[in-house]
Amino acid sequence: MKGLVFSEMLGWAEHAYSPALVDRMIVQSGVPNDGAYTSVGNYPHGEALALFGALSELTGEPIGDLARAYGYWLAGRFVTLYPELVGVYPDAESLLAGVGPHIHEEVTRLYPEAQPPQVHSSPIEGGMQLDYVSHRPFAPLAHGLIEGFVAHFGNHHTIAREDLDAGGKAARFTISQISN
Amino acid sequence: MDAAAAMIPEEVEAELALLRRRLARSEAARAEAEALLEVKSRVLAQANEQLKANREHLRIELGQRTRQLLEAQRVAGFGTMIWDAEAFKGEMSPHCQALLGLHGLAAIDGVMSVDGSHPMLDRVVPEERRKVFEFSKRLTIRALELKRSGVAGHKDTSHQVCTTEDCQTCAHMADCDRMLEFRIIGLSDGEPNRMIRALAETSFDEDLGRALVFITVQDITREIEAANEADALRQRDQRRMRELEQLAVELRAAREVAERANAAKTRFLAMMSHDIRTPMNGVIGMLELFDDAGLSESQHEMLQLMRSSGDQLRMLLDDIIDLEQAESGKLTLAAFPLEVGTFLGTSIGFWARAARNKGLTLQLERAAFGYDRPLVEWIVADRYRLRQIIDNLVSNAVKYTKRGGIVVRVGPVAENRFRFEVIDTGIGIPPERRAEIFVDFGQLHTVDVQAGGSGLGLAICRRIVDLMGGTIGVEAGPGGIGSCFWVELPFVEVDGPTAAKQKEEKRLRRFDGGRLRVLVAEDVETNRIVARGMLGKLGCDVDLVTNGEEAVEAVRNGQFDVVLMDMSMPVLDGPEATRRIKAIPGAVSRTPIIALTAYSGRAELAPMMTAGAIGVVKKPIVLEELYRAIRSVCH
Repeated sequence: MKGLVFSEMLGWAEHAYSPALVDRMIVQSGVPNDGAYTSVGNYPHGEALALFGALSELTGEPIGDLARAYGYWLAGRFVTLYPELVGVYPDAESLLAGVGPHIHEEVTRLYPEAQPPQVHSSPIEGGMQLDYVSHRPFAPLAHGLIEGFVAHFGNHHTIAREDLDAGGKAARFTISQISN
Repeated sequence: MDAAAAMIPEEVEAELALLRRRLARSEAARAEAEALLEVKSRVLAQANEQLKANREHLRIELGQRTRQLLEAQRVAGFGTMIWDAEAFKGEMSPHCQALLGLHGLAAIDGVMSVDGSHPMLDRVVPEERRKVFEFSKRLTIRALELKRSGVAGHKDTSHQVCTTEDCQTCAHMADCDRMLEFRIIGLSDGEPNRMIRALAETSFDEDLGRALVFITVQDITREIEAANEADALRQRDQRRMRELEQLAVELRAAREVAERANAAKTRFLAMMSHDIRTPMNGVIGMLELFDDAGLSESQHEMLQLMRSSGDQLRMLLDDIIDLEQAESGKLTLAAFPLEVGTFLGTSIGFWARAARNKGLTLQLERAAFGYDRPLVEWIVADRYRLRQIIDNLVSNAVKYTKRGGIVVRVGPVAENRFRFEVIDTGIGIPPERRAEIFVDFGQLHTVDVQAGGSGLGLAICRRIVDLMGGTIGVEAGPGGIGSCFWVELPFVEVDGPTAAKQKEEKRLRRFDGGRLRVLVAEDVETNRIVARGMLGKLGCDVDLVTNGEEAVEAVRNGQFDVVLMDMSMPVLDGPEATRRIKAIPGAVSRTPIIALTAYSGRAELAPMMTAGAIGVVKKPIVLEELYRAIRSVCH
């Protein structure tokens, strides 16, 4: 899993809670590198799960909610960090439709070892459907990301999530335009 | 330090510890990032090197392919040009430049104008510049249409190259629209104009976003010249064919004229033969019958001269008829058993007196001719024609030899082929003229003319020998003296008749064993007298009638052993009389009938033979022939 997800997660947790809590989360999770993550590295996704697990224990929040909140924050970071990728899309639907064929394609080209989830979009009446399939249980994280991008474009959509796998490895998101 | 530490509150201490851990994490992450960067840099450097190598490889490969393509263009004799329809710029391959006489002008640009100067149009002969200009304009518009419609390339919906003429979807053009043939000015001073064929294809290159015209250029001057030459040849052949057809028509007409003339000649010869033979029959027959006993020596000599002249006249007539038959392909051969030794002895012996009279020797010798087996005794041959050859050669030898003698040598040259040579010590024949003497009327010697020869004898011999499948020739005699005429003939061996039959044949020189009763039907009195005289000499009893009707009545009422029936008679002719005799009931219908005729051709004899005649005696009647004819039908 890309190191960016880890480094940004520590930043989000410090921002959302406190550096002290993040310090405890790292110690409590038992991750092998003592939380020294670099955005250009690659780390096992199990470490992310361990970190989320420790944070849940420390805050009492469910892991899914934490991951969704982190996804929302991460979408904002993507807008800041990668304007050349995100900036070309005029609205949320076109960006979400471009995740699979464009954004993930670009990630794979830059980082051949990366294994992004499969995201397939299809238009529906008044919106679109987005199917998420991954070998990692991060459907809540994807949910948060979608919410973040929708918010970036002015919150003109509602988002409904239907889990297709109990472990969070597959889900269908229905993104519907909000009629004025 | 301890004092200072003691002064720091516990909360601050904890905060410091936290910050130290964060710093340690950041440093560790930075170190890891730097290590990763180092690895990535090396990977990048390697990739860069690989990229350079690949680019160089591609550059070399591209260079090779380009050279191959250009070489292929040169070998195939065409060049290529790509024209950007929007930018009005084109690129020409080197061979295209060479073909158009635009050396060094790889790139060409500018809007074409038929009136203005343009390097491309300037090369075109003035009267065809508008045509080329219109072609270029049409292609440019097509390409721009393609770009406007956004149809990339010229592929159909299944992504196959479209071949539909005037396709509205991909603007694939009809052949007539995309091809142009035009003349350019000769490539050097004094060189004639060249003929160029351009083939174009328009397309829209989606990647480059360009409307393009791809053109191949080919010099078809030789092709056109070859086509023109072929056309000229075809026209010449057609002209010749017409001439030949005309010639064939003329030849056919000429042949028909010749055939008519030939038929007329044949009829004339037949008539002449008949008309001459009839009086000749009288003259020669009477001379043969003339009893020379009691004549003075000078009278005897005159009689002999008359007989000799008569014989010559008869032989000349025979020669003319034979030649005519040979020319018209009517000369045919009979096939009867022949005893070679006796035949040759008799034939050669016939000339013994003539030789002796000139003081010449005449010998018959057996020879081997390189084939070590004796000549067979009996063969199948045409006695009359073989005798004709021997008579010609031997009589010539006697005629042209003043001193010395004549030797006739005979023997086999192969298992079924024999040769005979007539060698004289005469005046000889110059080598350069030996071929001529076998040609019709090919007399060599004035003495021949003086001797009354027709010049036909050897020509007839050659034709007879040809017919027999043999060869005839002449060379110098032994020691270069005189001539050696030779003949080689194939033969078929047969068993001879029994000795008893031969003996019987020899005995029947006269029909003495019970006189034969012969009826002669002949309208010409002279001929009747000759026939009666000769038959009398042969020991026959003779009855004479003057036409066919009398002949039929005579046969019906009398008992004849043989009938000599003239062909042409008043009241009832020979063929009809023969038919009527054959129709008489009873044994008399089987009376053998011999045609008596002055006609010599087979066609003229046919009516008699068809009617039932079984033998022929030609007029002028020769005693020997008459004897043989009667003997052959009276068993």
